[in-house]
Amino acid sequence: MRPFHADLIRSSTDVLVLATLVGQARYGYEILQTLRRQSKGQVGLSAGSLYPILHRLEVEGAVRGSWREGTTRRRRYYALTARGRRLLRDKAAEWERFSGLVDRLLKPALGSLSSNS
Amino acid sequence: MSEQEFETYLEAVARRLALSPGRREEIRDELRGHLEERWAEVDGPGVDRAQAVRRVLEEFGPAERLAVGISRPYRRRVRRIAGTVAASLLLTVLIPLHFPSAPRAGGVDAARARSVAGSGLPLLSLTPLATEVTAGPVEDRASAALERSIAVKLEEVPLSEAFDELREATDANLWVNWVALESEGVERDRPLSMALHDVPFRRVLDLVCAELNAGGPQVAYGVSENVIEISTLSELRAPQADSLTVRRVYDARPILDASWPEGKAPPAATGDGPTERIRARGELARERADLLADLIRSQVDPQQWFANGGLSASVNHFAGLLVVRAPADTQEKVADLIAQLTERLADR
Repeated sequence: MRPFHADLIRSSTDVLVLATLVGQARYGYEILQTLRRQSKGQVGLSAGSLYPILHRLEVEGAVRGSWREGTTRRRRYYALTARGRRLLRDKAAEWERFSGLVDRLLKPALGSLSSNS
Repeated sequence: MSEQEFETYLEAVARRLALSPGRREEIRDELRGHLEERWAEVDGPGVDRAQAVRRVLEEFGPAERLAVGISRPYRRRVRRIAGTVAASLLLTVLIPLHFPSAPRAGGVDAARARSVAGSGLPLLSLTPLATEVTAGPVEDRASAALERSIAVKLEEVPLSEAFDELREATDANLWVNWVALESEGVERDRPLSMALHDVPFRRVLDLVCAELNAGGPQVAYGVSENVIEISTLSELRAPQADSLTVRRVYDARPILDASWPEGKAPPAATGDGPTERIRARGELARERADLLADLIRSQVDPQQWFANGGLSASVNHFAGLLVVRAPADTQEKVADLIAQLTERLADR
């Protein structure tokens, strides 16, 4: 399957990143791997894009970072805050509304396009 | 991690992070961990090492871009709570139109200086509020900024950066006399932490001074001619070079509004609302006023200006007005330069 257009990804990266943290704190590298795995390779967020997002989400209070000692190295884990969960819920609802709208508007339009041609 | 390229990259990122040294180190550690893990995944027998290093670094992008991206959210830590756009507009209208004002001979200009030095005493009034007709509305702008409510959330932020943010959030002409501050051991990179919500700017400054004064220095701030000056108590009290400097307010609007050589005309209507247009025009005028101030500082007695490390001259601007404080002979040259510019641009 073809990867999604970059603009589409960009506008939803916050949500995608937050979604990987539901129920489990993760560190940067792990977030990227999770995204890649869960999207079956369709979302390939780069490390260079991830860290600005993570730090912004932290400043905004949507995630909280903390250092944890691992077996080989210490890592900075990010956990969802109550605010982050709320943000994720709101964004998901907004997304559903939007995709419903696209369905309602685009499908008939596509239908008439193909019948005209 | 033995990969020297990664360390060089991390160093380049860290150097560009506009954050406190502690935060910089944390971010560097975090990125280093990621690079190590990614390298462990990529490296192996038969791998072209140079190519693999390049690939991993490409995933992080240019050091500059990453550093700016990470720093940006931390730099918005001071927010204005209530806008005073209406007040600013009103001031603009009220400003007298007789410029430049007559040069005024010396005198102590630290109109009000406040301090919470050491003892935690209430604000200290040093000299009576100077009265000057043309200074009135301009001065009021500094007063308005001091009353502006802001939210501050600073965590181990270098002092110089904290002042930058306060300046940005309040639109105040905030000038920090680093020479004076550093002479009392207050350094630019001294970390500052503060979390306040909906507090007037003057109260924030009181608290910043109080915090800086905990170790002994006597940092205070004073308001003079639309400039809020952060300095030491002794500096603010001293008549300094005031007896030698004069202040003039120049109407720079003919220059700022003229059509400039590179064609930077105020933006035409773009379909945005009138507010956006006014704001866009205001930004352009501010940008030009900055350029004009730079031009003056570079063309007229460059060694005199505070901004150039000098000790006797300053130039600030507000709403198309240029407030220049300088020795009388420098002042004459500034007047001459402004007259020339006005004339040349009017001819275009």
